[in-house]
Amino acid sequence: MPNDKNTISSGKQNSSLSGKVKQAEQVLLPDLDVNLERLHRFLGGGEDIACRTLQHRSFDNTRYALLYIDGIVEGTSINTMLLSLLDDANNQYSDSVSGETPDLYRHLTDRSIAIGRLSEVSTIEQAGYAMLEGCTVLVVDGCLRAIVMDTCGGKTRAVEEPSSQTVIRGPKEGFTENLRTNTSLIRRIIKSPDLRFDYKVIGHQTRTNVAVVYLEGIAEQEIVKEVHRRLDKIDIDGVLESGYIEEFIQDRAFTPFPLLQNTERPDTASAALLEGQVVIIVSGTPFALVAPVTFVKFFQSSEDYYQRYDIATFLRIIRMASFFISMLLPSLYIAITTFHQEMLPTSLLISLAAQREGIPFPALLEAFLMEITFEILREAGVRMPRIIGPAISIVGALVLGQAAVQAGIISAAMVIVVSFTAIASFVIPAVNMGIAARLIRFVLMILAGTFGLFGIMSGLMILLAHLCGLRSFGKPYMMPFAPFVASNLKDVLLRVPWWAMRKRPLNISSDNNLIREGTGQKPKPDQEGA
Amino acid sequence: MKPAISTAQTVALIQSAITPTMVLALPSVMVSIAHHDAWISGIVAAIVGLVMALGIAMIGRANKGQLFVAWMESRFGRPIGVTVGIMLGIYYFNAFCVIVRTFANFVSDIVLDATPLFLLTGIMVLVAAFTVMQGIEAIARSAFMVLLLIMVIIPVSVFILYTDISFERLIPVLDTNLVRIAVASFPPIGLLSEVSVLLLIIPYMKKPASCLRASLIGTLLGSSQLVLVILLALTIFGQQLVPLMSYAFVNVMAIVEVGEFLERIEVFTVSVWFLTMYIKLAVFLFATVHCLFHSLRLHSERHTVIGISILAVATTSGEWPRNMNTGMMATLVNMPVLLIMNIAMPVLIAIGLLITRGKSKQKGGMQGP
Amino acid sequence: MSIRMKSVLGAVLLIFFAMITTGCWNRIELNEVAITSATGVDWDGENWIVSYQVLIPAAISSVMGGSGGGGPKSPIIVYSTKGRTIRDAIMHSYSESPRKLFFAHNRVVVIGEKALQRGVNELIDVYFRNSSTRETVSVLATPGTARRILEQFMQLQAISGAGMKEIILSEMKNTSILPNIPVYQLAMEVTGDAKSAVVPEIFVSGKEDTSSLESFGTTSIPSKLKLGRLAVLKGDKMIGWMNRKESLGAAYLRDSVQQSYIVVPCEDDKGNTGFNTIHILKSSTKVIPKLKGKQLAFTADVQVTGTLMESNCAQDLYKPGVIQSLEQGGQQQVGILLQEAWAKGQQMNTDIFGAAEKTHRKFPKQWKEWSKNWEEVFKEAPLETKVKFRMARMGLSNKSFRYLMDKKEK
Repeated sequence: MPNDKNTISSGKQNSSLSGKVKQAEQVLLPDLDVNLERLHRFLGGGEDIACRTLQHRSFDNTRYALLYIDGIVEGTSINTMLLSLLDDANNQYSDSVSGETPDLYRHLTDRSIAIGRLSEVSTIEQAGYAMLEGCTVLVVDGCLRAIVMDTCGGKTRAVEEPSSQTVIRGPKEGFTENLRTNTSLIRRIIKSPDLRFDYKVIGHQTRTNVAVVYLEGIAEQEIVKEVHRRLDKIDIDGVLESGYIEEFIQDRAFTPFPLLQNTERPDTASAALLEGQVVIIVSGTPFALVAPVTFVKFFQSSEDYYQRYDIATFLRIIRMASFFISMLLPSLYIAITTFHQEMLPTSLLISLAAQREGIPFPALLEAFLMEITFEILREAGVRMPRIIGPAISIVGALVLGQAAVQAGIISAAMVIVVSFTAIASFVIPAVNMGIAARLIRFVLMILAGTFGLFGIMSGLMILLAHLCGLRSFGKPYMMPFAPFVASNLKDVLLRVPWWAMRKRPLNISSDNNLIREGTGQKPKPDQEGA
Repeated sequence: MKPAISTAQTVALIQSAITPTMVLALPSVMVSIAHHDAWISGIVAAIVGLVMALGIAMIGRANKGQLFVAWMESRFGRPIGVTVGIMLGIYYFNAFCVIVRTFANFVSDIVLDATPLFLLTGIMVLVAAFTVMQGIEAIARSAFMVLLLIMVIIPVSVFILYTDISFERLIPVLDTNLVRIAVASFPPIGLLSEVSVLLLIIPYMKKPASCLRASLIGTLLGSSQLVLVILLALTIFGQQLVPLMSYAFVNVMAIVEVGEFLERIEVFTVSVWFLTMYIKLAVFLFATVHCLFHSLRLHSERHTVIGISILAVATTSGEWPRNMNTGMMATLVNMPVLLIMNIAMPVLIAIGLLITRGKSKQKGGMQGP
Repeated sequence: MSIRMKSVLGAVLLIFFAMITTGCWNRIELNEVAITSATGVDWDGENWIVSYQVLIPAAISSVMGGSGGGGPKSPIIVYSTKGRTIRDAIMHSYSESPRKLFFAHNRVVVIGEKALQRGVNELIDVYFRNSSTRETVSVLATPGTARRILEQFMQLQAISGAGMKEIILSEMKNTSILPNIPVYQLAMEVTGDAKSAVVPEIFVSGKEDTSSLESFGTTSIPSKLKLGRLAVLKGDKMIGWMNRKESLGAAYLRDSVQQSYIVVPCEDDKGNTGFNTIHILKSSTKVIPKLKGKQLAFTADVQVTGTLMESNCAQDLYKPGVIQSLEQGGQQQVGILLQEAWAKGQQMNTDIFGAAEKTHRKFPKQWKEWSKNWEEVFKEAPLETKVKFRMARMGLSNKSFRYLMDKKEK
């Protein structure tokens, strides 16, 4: 299987190359100057291409050159390497003439370069692409091969606390934009020889590195294969974020629901790996993709497993409820106040009716106005410069909330409904699931304004059928419920204590490796005391 | 990938193919015939229903994983297979339209009396068509989730209604003429015979061997809900009032008064019931599409669904200008059709299977090695 | 492809706009409904007069919330319409009310005596035929016109319609003299085997009306709404009243007593008489039909549990026999109540006690014969009472206060 994949990915590389450079591959020639000139031309010149030519005293002053692109290499390693090279170049080796072939290339690779990872290339293209990755290329005069030194680095963001998925208790590390950092973060958590990283390059222009991570033996082979197959099919010029990839590899194109989970947290990614899911890390973004996922996964936070199970269960139910609130509350309000007033308690009906006296708009329009106002406020909150934040909140809270009610444009109850809806929508841990609820909310509001509860139920039926028809990498989206998998229910709405979750989730993890912990680990005070 | 439906989902499918229309209008019809012994009629109907379910499952077991129409064709030859397929397709289409219309009438009686009927039927057909397009698997899964919901709602509502129940209203048992009890059990038997839709579902099952269990449990669930509604209506309102109510289960929920806040919840209950009705619609539309699609060898299932849906909207909106007639048709006139298609047809198929048994063995022998 | 997409998009947009623009067939905004809290039904000999007590939400919430200036405003308004049928009358309201009458939050329907004498058939039909009306509405009867009842303000409750329902519910819970009769129960009783029903009475006690908010400027209001007697219906028509004592007896026989009280006369050692008040905590009645020869007879098997609330006999309650005498007194009292009610029922020739149903259940075969002339059978049937009265507690003090007083005198 790995062979398969390699050939495919290399073939891919070639095809994308041929798309850009029409002429045949240029091999390195013996003449150093020609090679340097051609490399410069291949990379289109540019001031950030650094070229340093050296001469080695022991090898008849043979010239060799170091090339790298400034800024994407790690300065310190370049400096130490250069120091050692210069030191080496000035040395007069006595043994160099004593019978051994005076091969500068061998000498450099074996004795002189102070870099951990080396490889060699034989064409201008390979050398050029290596430089674009942040490697340093060493070309020796008269030699048909060039040494590629891994000096990738440069300025990247440090590992920080994830901004979008915060926890109270749990690791504070988050993924960064650097692929290597991200893989290392996972490696540090799962120190298993079964951990596999399959690398790919996607995007003709951006040549974005993508790592497919999984645990051999725990992840289902079929799923891993499917992930590879779908990734290999992607043909695009650039990948700037994992969202690009997500839209290419999800099972169904038209759905408001996310079919892949994304996470900024290495611990969440590791937990997914341990349950047999596949993690796709994309260079250039801290958001890694997790597949396959089920609907309920989006309501789970990594913290659920760090806090006590009772509160975790409670919070999960709260989150599920908030999802339904944020999806349904405005439409229920519309349906009940304009179609089924009999369902309200009398005193509530009276106070609602009193508030509505003199409101010029029908409830549906009122709700739409407020919802859209809120969406605008929210978007403004995300986009605006941080400094104007307080101004926006004053305008939002005072002008739109209080003044609109006092002016009799909007009823106070509607403001409450909309604010509650908004707050509920922030409870869902996965932002992309929250977005789904936001969009569906508007559709349901129209249905509620037209047909009342019947409309809402019709909408929900469509939603249910749609959800039941969805699949994430072939796995049913509504998994533990439909199809019903009783053993997985331990970790859906409930979160049972760790000692009771003996098995990995069925149908996600590989079937022949389900046991994850020993039996009888429930704490028993009597025995421990004795 | 061949869709696979678990046994539990099959139970849910059968349950929701039977129940929604049954609990709607039947309780008051049955009580008006059999008075306070209507629940016995319900049990009688359940027993007959179980026998029918058994029979259907036995026939279904003879099918070795082929789609229904293909199976018919392989056993009886192309012409008969196609005829059976088309006949069933037309029957299911007819049934679908009747259900849509009954459902629309109900919705318009209960909540949306001013909304044009064609919009209601349009929405219903749209939802059903959408559900069918998601595939039988999605229908089955939705059916299962709805069943879970129902299983939660029923005990809660019985609990809420508990104080209003007075079992004395059922005494004396067997006060009514036995003939009346038998007559009253007739309408539910007709609807229970809709279990025959199982014949179309079996090929999609993960374990077709367990179809017997599924059909029995599904029928049992369906008929026990009928008996439950009858019992609730009788014990709460007594035999004289129930015939007065067109939709007894709505009235039952309407009298709930728990404190100041939990009252007038019938609209809510009805809303949950909408979901089961939608599943039923989806099952019947699926059956229609399935039969017609395979017997006419159509090319695109998607377009078949769209076509049939448009036809259904046109039929349901235009065919019956007067509402009252539809109600009568749904409960009484339709009954012989139901019985013919759901009982006589399977019996014929069973006889046919018995006759052609030898033939198919020969065929199998020839095809085998 | 693009044409197809366009057409699909067009269709979706079309449906969307169709929904938005015309989608309001059943929609009714909260400020388009006139919420009725009580309905009154009267009969003037030719026409039905239906009266509505309509809420004014803004006024109520200012009454409730205390905010909102500008003088007191009436939270309710009452008006009536006339028609040949009840629905006809209601339809006439459209020509005088700016808002659509909304009955789902109606709490009580008050029926005037004349209308009640004419019959409740129409009313029940209205309630069962329409989904907008509730079957849980409480039915009340009134000797005068229903409209007058609706016009009264009530203390502590701004909406007197809701207040009436609260009164009848709390009355039923605490003294159980009059039952709360929702429409569906009335319908059940009217259509039942006995074809008789009861409706509690509400009346205005006091000569003047309390129909102006100004009355609330003083500590006492000129009149109050009060629950009174029990209207007895035969078929769907009212034939008479039962007084409160008979009503309580009827409540026992109908097994609708939840909690009640009873005053038992007592006598101490020195021959002074006084009264003990017993709070009845629990009561259950079984009326059992029996066949004595060909004669139908009934036995009322009543089990009552009570606790002493007040005693003004000089008694030491620890003394043996005192409790027994209390229990005996209670037994006697309840027995008398039952007999009086039964006699009144027989006198009025209506079986409001559900005896017919019980007979039907017990003797289904003979019932077919009796049901033809149930009135006569019922009239002849004697009632035997078996009351089991049990004192559960004596309250917090063991001796009556008077007993202590007497002791000191010694």
